Amino acid sequence: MTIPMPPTAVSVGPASPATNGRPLLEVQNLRVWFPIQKGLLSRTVGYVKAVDGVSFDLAPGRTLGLVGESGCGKTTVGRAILRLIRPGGGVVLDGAVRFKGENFLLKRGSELRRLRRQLQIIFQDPVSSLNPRLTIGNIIGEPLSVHGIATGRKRTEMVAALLDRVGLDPSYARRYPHEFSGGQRQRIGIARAISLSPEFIVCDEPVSALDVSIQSQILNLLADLRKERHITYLFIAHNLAVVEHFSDDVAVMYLGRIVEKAAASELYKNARHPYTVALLSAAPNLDPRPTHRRIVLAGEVPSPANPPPGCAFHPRCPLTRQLAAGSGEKDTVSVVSGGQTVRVLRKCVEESPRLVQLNGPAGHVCACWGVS
Amino acid sequence: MSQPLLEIRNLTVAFNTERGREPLRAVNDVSLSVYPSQTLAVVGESGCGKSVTALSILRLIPSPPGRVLNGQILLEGRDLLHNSERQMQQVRGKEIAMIFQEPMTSLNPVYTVGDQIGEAVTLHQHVNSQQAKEITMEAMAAVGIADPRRRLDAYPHQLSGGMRQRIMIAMALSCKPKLLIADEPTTALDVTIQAQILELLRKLQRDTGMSIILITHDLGVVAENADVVAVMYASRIVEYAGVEELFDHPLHPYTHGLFRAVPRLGQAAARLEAIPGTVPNPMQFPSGCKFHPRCAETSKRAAESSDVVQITADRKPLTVMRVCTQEEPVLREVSPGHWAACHFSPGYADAPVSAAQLDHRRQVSAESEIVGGATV
Amino acid sequence: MSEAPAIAPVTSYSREVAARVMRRWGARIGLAWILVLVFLAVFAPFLATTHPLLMKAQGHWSSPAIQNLTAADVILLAGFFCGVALLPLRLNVLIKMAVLGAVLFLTAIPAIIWVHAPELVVYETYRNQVHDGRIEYALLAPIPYSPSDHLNDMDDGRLKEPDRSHWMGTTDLSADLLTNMIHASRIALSIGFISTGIAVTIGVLVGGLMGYFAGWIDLLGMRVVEIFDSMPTLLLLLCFVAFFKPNLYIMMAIIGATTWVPYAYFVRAEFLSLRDRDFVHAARAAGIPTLSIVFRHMLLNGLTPVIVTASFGVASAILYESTLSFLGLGLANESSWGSLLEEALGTGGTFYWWIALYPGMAIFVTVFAYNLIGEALRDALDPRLGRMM
Repeated sequence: MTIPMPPTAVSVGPASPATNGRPLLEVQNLRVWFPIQKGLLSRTVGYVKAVDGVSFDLAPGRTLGLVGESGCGKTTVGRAILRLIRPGGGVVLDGAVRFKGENFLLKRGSELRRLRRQLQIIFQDPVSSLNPRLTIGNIIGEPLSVHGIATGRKRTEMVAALLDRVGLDPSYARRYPHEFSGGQRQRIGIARAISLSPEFIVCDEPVSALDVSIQSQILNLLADLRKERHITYLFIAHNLAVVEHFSDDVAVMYLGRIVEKAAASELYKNARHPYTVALLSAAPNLDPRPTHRRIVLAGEVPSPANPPPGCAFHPRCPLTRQLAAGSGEKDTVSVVSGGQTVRVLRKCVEESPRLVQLNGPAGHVCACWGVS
Repeated sequence: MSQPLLEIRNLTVAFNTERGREPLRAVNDVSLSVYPSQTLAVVGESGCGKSVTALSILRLIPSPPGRVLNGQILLEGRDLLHNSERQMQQVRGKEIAMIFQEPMTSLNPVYTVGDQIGEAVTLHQHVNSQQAKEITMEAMAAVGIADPRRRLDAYPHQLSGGMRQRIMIAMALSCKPKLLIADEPTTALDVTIQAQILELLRKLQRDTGMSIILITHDLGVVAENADVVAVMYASRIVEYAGVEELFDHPLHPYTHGLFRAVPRLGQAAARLEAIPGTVPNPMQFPSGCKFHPRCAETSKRAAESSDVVQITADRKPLTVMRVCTQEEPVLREVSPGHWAACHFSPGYADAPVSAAQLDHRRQVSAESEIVGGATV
Repeated sequence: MSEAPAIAPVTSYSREVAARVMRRWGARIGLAWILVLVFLAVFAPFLATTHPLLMKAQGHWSSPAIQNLTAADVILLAGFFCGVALLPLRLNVLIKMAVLGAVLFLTAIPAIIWVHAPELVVYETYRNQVHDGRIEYALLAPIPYSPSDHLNDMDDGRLKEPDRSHWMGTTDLSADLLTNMIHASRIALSIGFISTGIAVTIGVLVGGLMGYFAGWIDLLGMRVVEIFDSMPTLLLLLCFVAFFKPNLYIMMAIIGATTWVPYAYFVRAEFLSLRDRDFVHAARAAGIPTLSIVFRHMLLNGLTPVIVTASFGVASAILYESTLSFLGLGLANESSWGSLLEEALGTGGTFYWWIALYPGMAIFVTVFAYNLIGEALRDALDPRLGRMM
């Protein structure tokens, strides 16, 4: 399955801690394209390029935060890694997801089932992530039975221990999801995710649907579990402050691609990509006397069905306009954005930028012609 | 001393539950005021009663099962609770307008957006259809929609979330109301779109002088947009102050806890100080102060006091101050312009019980640089 | 989402729904009527029969009613008592249904083999013998007439208006109307349940397959569904009756085979949306086998619209049968409410009001009852109606 890759595919992993050096998870050139079908016979007329060449490495025990706005593909990345995206029906799904060296996407049958124990997921919506017809005990305990880890009394004990670990009364095992609040359901979802003792967990916006005071409880619980069980997380969220707090490294996505990646504190101190800068600027701070000038990006977040050519951010990018103002005729080009005509750098419209290492701390990469 | 535009006094709203049970008090003895050109933020988590308060202003709570048990809602001195339904229809949209969280469900999917804005215009202003169209397009341009003529015939599902929210705002402002109630207007939007919408609201407030009641759970939004803040917990207001004062000196343990529980950009902490426990069930509110099972302050003082009581909180025993379980604190002005409802706020015992009113405007506004388009 | 912690006692989803349904007075009335019908259907051989329940003749005690039970009577009685015994027990619904099914099956075999009611019964014998004194004592049923008792010992018992001895009057064949109504309730109930049962089974299977696999299976399946959707049930039944003798079981099969389409649509739609629910994703991520996901996770959740539609479906099955019988195309041997209705218009234009009123009312009330239950179920299962604030 070798299709020419867009040039954003080069990845530079974060500096690994002093372990055996091999990353736990390597995502290579992951692409997920959903077909747009029209007409009587459902002909494919185009693709929604939800994920368009994403690569990153995750060292064991590290947490990678994935941020971006709606339509950037971060949720799709998480689900694609766990093979929750069905490849049939014209969906383009390729790339490699190497878990401890083996490509998870190619596994089948009992080998797949064995490996599934190691990769789990926590969902965003506490309402739809639990089967309303099963008891909590069954929801948490079913994977234990299916994988032959524990049955009967032993399973009941393990479920009780898991409930206790996430802060719930073990007697709740007989109850049904509708009897619980959002925060409690999220704890149940966490108990289910850790029941198989996985090494890698995708957290898909785990606290976005919760009240503020409960968010911190859940984040603390996830952090404690990370330390106790040495779990590696892929933490997907749109709240920048939460991602910075929780992650070791952060990658910013825009329209299916990673546009910048760095260690969490480095990213927030020295963001270079204009989108990252705007994103950080837009996030409200708990400061009633704001001193920094906020950058408000005009225009809508474009749809991944019809991404702009070249660098997908160029219609809204302040940097390209700024650089175009100081450049000659032959380096710039006119584009229409938000009902207006503006001049931008020619390169930003013609070629899609690659992720390159910046001058600075190792591991800080950015995909922007204006920056490199 | 100017007069407040809207004054809510001792509002109590209850809902009937199943037969035989006590009605549930969603809003209990709430008093607040909004002055002209002021932005009042009402902050709280789910179930605290902030949305019910807002809906009650416009009498939008369905009357069974909801009932106003007590209180007054004074718009420029007139009590809205005494209005007939017909009189309320004159108020809604014209003097007080409201926008909601989910623009998709607040807009009618089978009518074009031009029709929906136009309906609001013709309802309250005596204009013919051509003039209504002009006014509609003006309203759309004022909220930053490029090419309004083309968008008149668009249906809601053809527009993005940010655009729909702008349509909602255009509808709300088409008749130039004095007060805009915004119930979580940006919660469902992306961060960059949220910045646009909030900037738009600030600009419109500068241009028209309207007041805004901003209901939200996001403290960051409060910090950058509000003049005065009311913090609600479990059907009551627990703190009320100017925005700078609140962020500098939070006096209620719940407010304090919220600030510590929220991660802040640029300040990486190893562990967040979470508020333990959960919001209480309205059917089973704790006695006395509703926050005491989760309150760090009361348990801290109980460690050094003898007037204590043992309770069970979150499956564990907890020692708290006796007064917190017996007496529910009311809102008192513990320092000038700062109200709190906690026995242990400094100066609480001697503080006067007065109506929470503050004619304060924020000192520094968030300055914005708009990029990537002429209009926001 | 409100953080209020749980206070309600442990209830399963089905119990919650049942409680919500029972709160509506419509559902209570409907359910009460159906229970009355069930009772009448099961105990018909004891409630409405010429055979005395207990008889002393020439010194011997006997129970002709019991001696004349048919195999069907026995099976129904066994099923009823089993069901009543199982009801209060706190077991899984599926287990209860399995036990009931087993009991019915185990009763059916010996019943069919051994229980034989005598073919020809001369009903007036009892009355004559009581009159003569050859029967010393007879404990009669509350309605002491059988459906096929043509009152040959009375002169001209045909088409008599309701009076003290015949509470609903008599039919054209000089049989008591009330007893016919009671015995016909069996047909009303069975045709509804069995044909709907067949329809639901076919619909769930087809719809489930289409919804779960989607893709080309769905495309092909939809074409099959559309073919069946265009089949007119009533005309098919008429055709069948025109060519063959009316047979209750085949009629139920035809109704079942042509009315399964709505169930397939519902289940397909539910499955298509359930496929993308997070808890199904979670089950796949945990490595749970596909079959288990379909039957355990998806099916239980996808049945809600089916249940609502099924109760309306039972009502319409009753109406199909009544329509056919009214047209004279129904069952020959046993009378059903529809066939009784047909006799209301006599030759020469005379209208026998009691024969129109009582069967008509029965059909109306039964269909109404099922509709009430269906509406209550629909409201109870609607997730939005539970929320306030």
